[in-house]
Amino acid sequence: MSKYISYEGDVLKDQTVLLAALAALGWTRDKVEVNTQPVPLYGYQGDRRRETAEIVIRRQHVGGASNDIGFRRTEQGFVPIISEFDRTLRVGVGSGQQTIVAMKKAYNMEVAQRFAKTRHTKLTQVREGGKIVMKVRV
Amino acid sequence: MALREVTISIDEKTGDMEIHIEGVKGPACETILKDIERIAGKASRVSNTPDYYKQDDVRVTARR
Repeated sequence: MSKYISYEGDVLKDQTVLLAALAALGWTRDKVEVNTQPVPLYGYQGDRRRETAEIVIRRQHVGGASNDIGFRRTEQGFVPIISEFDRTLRVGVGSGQQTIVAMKKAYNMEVAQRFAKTRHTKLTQVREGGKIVMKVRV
Repeated sequence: MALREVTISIDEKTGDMEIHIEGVKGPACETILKDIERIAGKASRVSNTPDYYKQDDVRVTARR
């Protein structure tokens, strides 16, 4: 049975930004459960796990033999809860990457785009030195 | 007039974001940072470069 890991140090603050980031990774709104109260996560065998979360991607949308992925609401934002088995993305946009890294990148890309919109300006984007570098005139 | 620009860098290996605010005076710089934090959440670390304390050309680096 694959252990779940709670990424307490990688809190994703805003729900709408998070949902947009998940959609960018291929988990469109129809594949993501959003609950007002925490619900249980389930393992790949349909086994109920002790972890709970408000936002859940059910295992059939994660990949074959995968477990649910959850985002638990806290005062600071949403804590990703990902099983060890699903630590690497197996399907969709960004497959092959570490799941938490892909999620953080998508989240932060969404932040950058939203910030650029607040300034009514375009985002220029280049890849350099292992980074995605974006500039916004203010 | 100095170029007023926000540079947002995302590390492809870790997904972490770093923000540089350049060419903006102190209080306005704080406003920009707060605007970003309103979207992204609180920065885990904020540092002001020496330019922050000059009359013109302010630079703030924030990391989350």
